[in-house]
Order: sequence, then structure tokens, then C-alpha cells
Amino acid sequence: MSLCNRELCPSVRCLTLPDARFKTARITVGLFMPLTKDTVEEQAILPFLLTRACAKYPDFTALQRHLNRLYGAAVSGDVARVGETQALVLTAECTADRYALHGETVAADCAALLCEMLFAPALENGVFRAQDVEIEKRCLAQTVAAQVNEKQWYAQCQAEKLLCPDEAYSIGRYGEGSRIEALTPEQVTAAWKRVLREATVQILVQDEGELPAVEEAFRRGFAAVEGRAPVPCETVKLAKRDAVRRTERMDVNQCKLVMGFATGCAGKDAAVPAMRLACALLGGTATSLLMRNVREKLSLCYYCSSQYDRLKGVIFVKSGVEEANAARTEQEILRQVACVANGEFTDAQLEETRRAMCQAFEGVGDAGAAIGAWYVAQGLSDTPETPEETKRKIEAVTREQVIEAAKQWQLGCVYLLAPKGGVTDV
Amino acid sequence: MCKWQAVSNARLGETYYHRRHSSGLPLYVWPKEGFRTTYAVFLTKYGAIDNAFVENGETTVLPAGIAHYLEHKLFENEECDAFDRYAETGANANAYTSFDHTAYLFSCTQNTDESLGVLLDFVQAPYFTAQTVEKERGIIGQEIRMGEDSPSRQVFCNLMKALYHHHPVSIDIAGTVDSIAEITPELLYRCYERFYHVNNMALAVAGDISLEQVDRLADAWLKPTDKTAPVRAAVDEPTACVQPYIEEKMEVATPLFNLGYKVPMNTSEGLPDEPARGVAAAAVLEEILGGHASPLYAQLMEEGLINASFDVSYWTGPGFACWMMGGESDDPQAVCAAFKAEVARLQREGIDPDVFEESRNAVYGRMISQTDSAENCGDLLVDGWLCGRDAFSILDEVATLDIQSVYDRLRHDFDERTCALSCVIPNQTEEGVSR
Repeated sequence: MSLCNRELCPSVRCLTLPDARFKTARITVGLFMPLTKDTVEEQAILPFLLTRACAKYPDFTALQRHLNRLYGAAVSGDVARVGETQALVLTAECTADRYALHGETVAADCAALLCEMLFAPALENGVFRAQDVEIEKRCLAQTVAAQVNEKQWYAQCQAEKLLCPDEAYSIGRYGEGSRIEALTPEQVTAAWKRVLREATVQILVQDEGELPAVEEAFRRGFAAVEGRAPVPCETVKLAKRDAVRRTERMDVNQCKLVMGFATGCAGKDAAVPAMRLACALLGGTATSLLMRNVREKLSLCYYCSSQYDRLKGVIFVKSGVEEANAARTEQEILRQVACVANGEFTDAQLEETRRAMCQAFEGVGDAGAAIGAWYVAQGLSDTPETPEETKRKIEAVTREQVIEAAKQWQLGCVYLLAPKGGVTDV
Repeated sequence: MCKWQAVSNARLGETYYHRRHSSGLPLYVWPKEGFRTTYAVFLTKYGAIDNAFVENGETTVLPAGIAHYLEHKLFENEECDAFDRYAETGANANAYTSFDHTAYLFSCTQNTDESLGVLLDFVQAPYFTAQTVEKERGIIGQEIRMGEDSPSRQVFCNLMKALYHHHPVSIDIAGTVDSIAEITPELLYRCYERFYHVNNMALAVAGDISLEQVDRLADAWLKPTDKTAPVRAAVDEPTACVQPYIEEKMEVATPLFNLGYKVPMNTSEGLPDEPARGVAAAAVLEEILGGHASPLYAQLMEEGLINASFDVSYWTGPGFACWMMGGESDDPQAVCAAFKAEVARLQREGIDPDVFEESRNAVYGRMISQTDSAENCGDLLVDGWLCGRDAFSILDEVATLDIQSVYDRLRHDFDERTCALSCVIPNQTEEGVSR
């Protein structure tokens, strides 16, 4: 499996990964735009609207029946946050041509359909159709509202707002429900045209071989966009600051504790691999310091983990606990954070963590969806790292570099989602 | 020694192998050329529905959640935790308890022999003390609390309570904080002895693995037994459901709903011996009833009654089978009415042959994609063993399925007298508003 990386036109890159092991072909188009409060909603609706219908298949049901005929092919849209960039992602997945019962060219057809959806949507009098916009507005607004259903996700989003107030990082990737409801077809159409003009684009083709006709169709499509001028997408590293605390009460049984840390290390900083390894040592594996101590030794929780966002340079530690144990859990987490920074871990623990991370990187190439996610996360890079390259960087990190990385961690926020009627405030 | 039997599928170009080890354990191996990942599952036919057993003529009723508790505790032995041993190999290990089985698994790209050794060893070496069992109560208590705050889990669990009178599928897999308080080391040992032995278990390995590796490790680690596999007692479950409607208030934005149709079981002993053809027909019927290409999906979307969370699925296990239709809606009753009307229309008018062919094509394509990863292949082997089927059988049945088989399911499975609706509604809602 070798990665072919070609620039189709300025800021439009096509990555091709021919791989005959898979029975599924996958074409992913990532359109990267700055995440701003003014544009987040009108851009967020686009992947859903564009994959709902197109000029060639204006009727949703007719389109879906066409996809069923193509062996259950699926085209879908979603939005991801990559640092402080909004990634609008369109994906087509289908069976590889060799499994078609009647010799159809399934992968090329699906890729061509995705291209049609992006450049030739179903418009009426030059704007998106009102009924399509209304359906996708309602669905998107419900997705945003449903954030509260999943308490871990909700608590994470609230902690991000607490840690990074007034920064693009705290803008939800879909935006606000009330602003979604206010979108108009004209506004959304203007956003679509802007995205075609200004987005940095990554097209990832995963199939048995290359799909040159698809590459050419996308190249022609972007070359035909008038006034195309990609805008830079940048993520501002979080500055260290005094910790802020917030307790929110809701009708829940279990508290969700989220602690945010600034690391001072992000993007292309040389210490990023060491920071990744340090964070994994703290709470990234089943035998991490947090799991060994907060869960196994003190029986305070079912889960306790840490995650590093290397683009923003922040770490979040998460756990679900009884309210009576929240303060104790926080203290123990801080104690484990100090253990990493003070070098109070064994060489064996460090090597176990490194081994687990390296095997995870080695496994990325065995799952088509994981490969897609791997490259979308690096969609702004002209030369994205392969999992093997990242693995080698982790292998080269020293114990001293891990300790030095952890010394940079500074607590920035403590957020607690707690049951109504309780008395503990963090 | 039993020789490896190859099971090949020309459509997929895939082959897996199985044999019974001299210890008695069924072994399944699916080598995946070119893959670096190995995925292994060691499982027992012991799950949450096994809530009682008879020994020397005496029935022991088990506390709800004990199979899941046992899963947690098995990772610990006298010297160390199995996760510590996996940490040395670098494998990513986990376990889960379902209604009808408990599985211990790992995936890795290196040190496969060592990881497989850890798996086969710790699952066969229980070690429970009052102290270690007590320590786990707080951890599992928090897992239960987490589940109680999950609306999607609650809407499903409540539906099972509304559908089933006696079948233990209506009991939460993890139990309750009160029920797990009754669990003791002695009880865990009794369950272990009953359900964890090679005649009630299987090993499935897929990915970067050879038959020789599995032979060698099975010989080294497996412990033979003279115990026989326990037989699940039939449950005398009435056809009718318990209650037609069940509701819970939670912190949610939009009501969640799940409409269930309880399917009459054809087997008196309640085993999951549904023929592959029936499962294939159900998969195609799911697509016809609620797939994105269905007229119902488009209608409900246009009327503003559903969003992308809408789903229709068939679910079956030992002694139970049901259809579920669910998602989020401001008006679950209206969605249910539309669904019932669509089922009635199709029962009356029959299924359009073009729609049948397209739906069958879609299911066929998705099943092909299912064999793309070591994890999926391993899980197919597990399902095959649990249901007594060849892992490729459902795909083969889909490829040759006829419209009548699907129509028969439609006629047989959907009876409004056996259905119940479960809703989770926003806690600010006044009583009955969403009904």
C-alpha cells in the first residue's frame, strides 16, 4: 500500500491509496474552512444538503434506489473539527468492482456521483430548494440539541467552552440550533459557492487501483470555479492561564468530570510526539496511570482517560463519578499528572504505552474507515504523515522528553456536570 | 485429532477453517492475507439471560448482572491483572457481556502468540476473593450509573420490559446497584464452574494468523473437562406483550422512541436456530421497511417526523425475537401510526419486485463489505458459532433469496396485538404530552 499524493490545482490535493485487500472502495472529499461564528451553521449544513440530492438525481428516494442498485453504495456527509478548522466531509462507500454481479463499474460511478453532488447540486432558480433546506435544517438542529442526550459528549463540549472562551475552538462544529433554524436557501447557496472558492480540499481515493477519471473530474470541477482563492486555515495554540471552574446541574445520576490542560505544544512543534506519548502514559491505555489508580486502586469510576488535541495543544481528562467522590477524583488525577511530570513512572510503564501506541498505528492501515479518518485529520497538510512515519516518531521519544512535555501541562479548567439537588461545587 | 475443515466462499474469495480441539473446544481461524492485525475472541455461551441454573435438582436464581460482574473479575488473578500482561505484549484487549454470551478479545499487530497465550490462560484461571469482588462493586456501580443516564439505552431496556413477561431479556445486562450487592465470590465460582469450560466455549481468531499457531497455542493452554454444556431452559413466554406503552422522563432534547413487535418463537426450546434464510429475509425486509430508499423514510422526513437516527431492525437471540423501529421524533405516536399503516399496506398489496431486487442488492453489497477487517471476520465467526451456522450462510442466502420468503416474514412477524412503544421524553414535558 503506497500513498500517491498529487496536487490537482492550487490547494486541491488528491491522495490515492490503491489497496486490493479491501472489498470496499471509499472516496472522501474534505473541504476545510476556518471555523467562525458567522459562517459555522451555513457551512455545516452543506455536506448533508449536498448528499441529499443533486441535479442528476433531484429526488431523494430515486437517488437512494439508484444507490441500492449499486450494491448498497452510500453517500453521506458530516462535519468534523480539525483544530480550529471546520472540515466539511463528503464520503462515498461501495463494493469494489470485482464483486459486482453484472460487471458494473461501481466505484467510478460512485465517485462521479460524489463529484456531481459537490459541483452540480439540486437547485431551483439558482438556489437550493426550500424543502431540502428545511429538512436538513431540522435534522441538523436536532443533532445539535441531542448533544445533551450523550452526557460525556455534552460535558466535553462545555469544558472546551470553559477552557477556550472566545476562541474558535469553542465553537461547536455544527454551530447553534437557533442560528441553524434561521438559515435561508439564499444564504446556504452563497455559502456553497464560497466554500468552492475558498476551501482547502483533500480528496482521498481508496480503491483496488487508481481512478484517474475521478481525479480529472474533480480537477476540472475546481478549475472551473471562478475566482478560486483558498483562505488560510490556522489554529491558535492555547495560551496558559489560571484555571477556571464551573459546576452545572442537570437531571442525571452520575457526575461527569472534565479537566482541561494547556500544554504549550501544538502543530509542528518538535515536542508533539513526546506530548502524545506523555498523554497516553497518563490516560490513553487500559493500564494507564489514571486507569491503574483512579479506577483500579481507588474504585472511583468506570472510565478515566486523557486525550491530547495536538492541533490546539490541549489535553482533556474525563471521568464519570459519584458526586461525593468528585473532589477526591480531581485530586487523584492531579496527583497522577504530577507523577508524569516528576518522572514517577517506570521504564516498563513507558515502554508498554509506547508499544500499545505503535501497534495502534500499525493497525490503522487494516481498516478503510480508520485510514480515511487518519488523513482527514491531516487535511491541511501538503505532506500528511503516514501511520508508519508517526510510529517512528513515537519510537524515537526519550523518557526525558516525556517528562519535559508533562512539565508543561497547566490546569486550565475543571468542569463538573452534577445531579440536581447536590451540594458540591468544583 | 480432528482435522481442520475449510469453509470457502467463492463470492467473497475467502476461506476460514474450523475444528474441535482435543480438549473439546471448537476452534475457528480466518487467515487474512496481507493484514497486520490479528483479532481473537474467546467466548462462552453465558450471558445476562442465564439468570438461574439447576444443580442436583435445586434451582439457584442468580442476581441480575452476575455474568457481567464475572466478566470484570476474570481479568484479575492472584499475581496480577490480565491487562498488565497484555501491556507487555502491546495488544489492545477488552471484553463484553451480551444477553447470550460473554466474550474476551484482543487485537494486535505484534506478539500474537504471547497475547493469545494470555487470553487462553486468564479466562481459564478464575481468582475471586471477598476483597477483590468488593473492590469491583464501586467500578461496576459507576458503569450502571452511566447506563442509567443514557437515553438510548433506557429506551431500549424499557421496550424489553414492555414486551417480555418472563424472558430475562427484559433484565438489564449490568443489573442494578442493588442486585450486584448480592454477588459474592462463592456465587461467581459457581457460575464460572457451570458456564466456563471448553464444552461451552469457543475460540475465534482472524487476520494475521496461521492454523499452526492456533494448534500450538491451543495445545499449550486449553484444559479438557468432562463437564457438559448447560442446556438453557425454555421460557414460557406469552405471545402478548406486557404493556402497550412505557415512558420515562430524562434530560433529552427531543423524545426518543422505540416501537417493538414481539415475534412468536417457533422453537419450544427457545434456541437461536433460526435458519439463515430467515435472517437473510429479515435483513432485506429491514431495508424495504425503513431503508433510506423506502417511501416511508421519505414521507416521514418530509413531514418533519424523523431525522437521520431513524432505524428499523430485526433482533433475535435464544428464546426471543423482535422487530424494532426507533429514533428521535417530536411525535412518536404519529411515526408509529405511519409505520403500522405502511406494514399493513405492504401486507395487503405485496412487495414491489423491483424494490425487492434493489433491497437485496443493497444488503448483499453491505455484507460483502463486512468482511473487510479482521475484527468483522472474527465477529462473523462468533455469530456463526453461537447460532450454529456457517459464517457465510447468510450472504449465500441473500444472494439467492426469493421475494416470497421476505413476504412470509412480513405476514408472520408484524401483529399489532404484540407490539409496544417505549418513549423517553424530555423531563420538562407534562404527563402524557408526547402521547
